Amino acid sequence: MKVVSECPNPVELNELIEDELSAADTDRVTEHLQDCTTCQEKLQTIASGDLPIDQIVHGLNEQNPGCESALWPAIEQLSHEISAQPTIGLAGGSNVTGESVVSEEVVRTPPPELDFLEPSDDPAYVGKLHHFQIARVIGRGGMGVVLEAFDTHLHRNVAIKVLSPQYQSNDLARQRFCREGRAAAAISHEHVVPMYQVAKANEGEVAFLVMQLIEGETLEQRLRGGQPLPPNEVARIAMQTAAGLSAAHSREMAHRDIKPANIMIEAETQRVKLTDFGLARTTDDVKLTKTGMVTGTPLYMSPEQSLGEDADERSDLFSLGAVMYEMATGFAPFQAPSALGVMQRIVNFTPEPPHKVNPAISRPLSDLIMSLLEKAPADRPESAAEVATALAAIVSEYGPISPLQVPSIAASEVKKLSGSYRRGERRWAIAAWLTAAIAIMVAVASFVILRPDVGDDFPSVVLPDNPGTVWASDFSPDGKTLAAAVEDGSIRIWDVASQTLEKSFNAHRGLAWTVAYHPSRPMLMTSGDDSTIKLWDTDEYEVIWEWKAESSVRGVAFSPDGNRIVAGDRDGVLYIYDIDSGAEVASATTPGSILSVDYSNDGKLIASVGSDKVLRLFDAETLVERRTMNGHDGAIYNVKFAPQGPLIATVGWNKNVRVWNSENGKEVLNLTGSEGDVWSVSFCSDASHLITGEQMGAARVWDLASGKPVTTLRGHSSAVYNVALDRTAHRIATSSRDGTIRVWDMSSVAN
Amino acid sequence: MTESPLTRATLLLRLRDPGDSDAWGDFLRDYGPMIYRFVRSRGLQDADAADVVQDVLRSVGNAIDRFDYAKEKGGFRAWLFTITRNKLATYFEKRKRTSPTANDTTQFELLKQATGGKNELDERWELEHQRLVAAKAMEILKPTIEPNTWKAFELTAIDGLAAEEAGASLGMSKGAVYVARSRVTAKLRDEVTRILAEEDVVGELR
Repeated sequence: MKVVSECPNPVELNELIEDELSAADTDRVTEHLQDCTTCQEKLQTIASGDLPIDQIVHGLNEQNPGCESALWPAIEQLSHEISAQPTIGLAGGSNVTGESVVSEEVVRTPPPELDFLEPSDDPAYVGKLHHFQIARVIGRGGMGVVLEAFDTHLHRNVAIKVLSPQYQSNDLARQRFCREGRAAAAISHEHVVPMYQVAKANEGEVAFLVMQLIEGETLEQRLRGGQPLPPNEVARIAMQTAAGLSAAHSREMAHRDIKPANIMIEAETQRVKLTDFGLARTTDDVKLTKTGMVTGTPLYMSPEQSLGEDADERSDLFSLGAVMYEMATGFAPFQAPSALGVMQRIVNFTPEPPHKVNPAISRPLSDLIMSLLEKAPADRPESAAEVATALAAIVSEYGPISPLQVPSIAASEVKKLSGSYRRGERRWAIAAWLTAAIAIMVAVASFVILRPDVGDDFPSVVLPDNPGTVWASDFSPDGKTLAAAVEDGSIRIWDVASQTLEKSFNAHRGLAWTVAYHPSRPMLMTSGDDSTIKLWDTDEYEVIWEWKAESSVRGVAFSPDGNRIVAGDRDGVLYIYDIDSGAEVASATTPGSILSVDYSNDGKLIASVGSDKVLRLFDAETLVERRTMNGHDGAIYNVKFAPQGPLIATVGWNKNVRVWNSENGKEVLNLTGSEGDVWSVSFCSDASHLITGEQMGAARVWDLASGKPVTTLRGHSSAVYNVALDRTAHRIATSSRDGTIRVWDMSSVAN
Repeated sequence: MTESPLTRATLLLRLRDPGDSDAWGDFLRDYGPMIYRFVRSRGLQDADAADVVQDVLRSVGNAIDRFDYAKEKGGFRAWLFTITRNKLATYFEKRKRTSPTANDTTQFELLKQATGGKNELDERWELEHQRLVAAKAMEILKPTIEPNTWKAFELTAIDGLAAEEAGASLGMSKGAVYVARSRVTAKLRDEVTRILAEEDVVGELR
């Protein structure tokens, strides 16, 4: 319940701007500004005075010439021309020829330990690496140094990990380092620090990793006082760590170096983020262990690591157990004066159970920790997902659980648990918890979160940093690449398996609305706000045909035989073109704007929807209208025919998801349960399920037999504008206003 | 500091010496992007815009030693505007010849209009000049302002994010974002006003 305070007067607002208010008044007025739009505007008006500051600075960055602009070489050339001197520095060269000018030397030289940095021209930074301005050193580890930096291209702060110079020349270390980058970049999970890129600078001599900068502390810092953490914190931090681990494990990747220093706690949210997959490696890659090199931090090593044996996911669980033990008791379980001593204890010694050391620790939590510390991998819990689930039950005992704290765990992982508990006699503890955990999860689902999708799949792949809203995406027929249509008019081609951007090219002036692969030929169709429809070859990405509509084109589709396309524009005009001759075959005008079109699976009908709330079917040869279907109470955003059978689905404004029979024009289903407007729809390949993309950022899978949602895919922070299906591999791509595309593996839901 | 040690007054005077690489370096760095933004606002693509900017600046280089600050009405900025308009007109003329389908009539008519009036072209030129000054002012201000406060301003005022979004990414409340934005705005206003006043002094000098 918010109490709206009285509006501050202009004098107060001015004093707030000048920082002349008392702290208490500042807080009060700031609080008021939180929700009072009138005062928000008034404040800015006072601050701007008689200059249109807002108008001046708005969009300044994006309207300035980019670093790839042709302006820079043009100016460079010009400066050579103008100057009588052969060389000239654009930002003020050192060869001053004018009269006594005091030219301050502004370049700062980086400190010696960071001698791989180039000098920065900005005094706020200690140096420069590639296009990153380096602000400070935030950490040092065995493998290298961690820096806080500013990415001058994307304008955001990042953390950069640079391999120590003494390792840069070492092949083994370099290999391991690059593996870290590749491994971590493949994981996308709320409890794993996102890796942005692996890069090299100084002619390839300096390798570095760029990742998200987490504002907060490490668990190591939090444990520094040697005091145990509150039991609910132990369980919560462990739960989120286990969830992050399960993300890595589901990709058959072990972390191999779980320790408090690698567990970050975000200051703002207290959320745990697992970092430094420094020793992580895919389990089928055994090169490193063949060398006999022992890796890992001794205090949290598993017995098998101590013995130099291969370490797998269960080894991570042991390390997690050791970390939990320290959180619960305030000290590490296998402390000894020397590294060798520690390793010996890890192999032979069983520490006292945490509940005996610290009575505040509950028996179930203590038992779980001890089961993780089992010497034999086979005696430990089965998986990180199982541990996370068990911990969710424990966390909930300490009070109501916030939906934000419930981590995503792969549904497939959780299902796997049920049959696998009774291998050892010691399974009793977990077996009992599983029942409790499921009960809790159900309770959480129905009473706390009020949405039936706890534990849904998290995305297997995130394709980030597209320059703006991704309006559409489409899988190539072989499922290997994904094409995306972006707000800035570009088309981006992603390699899905490696998550790398293969190609990006400007296709349209203004927005690119749609993109679609040809069903069989190596071609790609795009349409945009510039009223054009373009057909590209996918080898060179050159335009084969360009068709001009009357206005912005938001609906396009290939005919099933791939010989024709249909397009619809904002003025309501439908066009059919022949892709061999380029000729217009037919056109017709409909009332309202067209937002989506589709061909029926037999190629005989064309459906069109848009702002007039009506689903219209046309003869695909003549564009004579065959049928109209009414029912939507607002604009229809998307239409799709089923890949087989007579069904046709439409979605649109105000949560509408409807399925129709194209043969008799009857409404078959009106699916309810969406959150907000629905932007996109697609049938799965056997027409048994429907996938929709929603305004609030979710994608939903519906079972058409029951008419109920079966899975909700959450992850996007903003509207999902398009859902695309990979018919080769049960994958869904969702593209969003948040600039990302997510690819979800649905094999666990399929069948 | 990245602020140029050359005041704007001496900068323009020193441009008469083509060998003064400092002055020319500063001039190209500041006015290049400004003219570029203006030219892009006329609908030119990057490569074409870069060509036009190069032409404009080359003309300045060739003619500056003949430019008489005492006689030229409106001073340097007005002179630069005239050159830019002429080069743009040349560009559109050429484009009309080579691709007659391009519909540039509106732009063309606008360019032919006498200056001094308050048409869209003049207003845009004025805005881009203010932006040049604002960019300078921001360079000066940024190091003096607490980074999160600056960031809140940058995200909302420059990048156009909603206060809520900016606050979420910075860990600030919405209200605090508005306060930060207004404080930087006020400082920026003062700094821009100061620089503009300084420029007017240059005007007095002519």
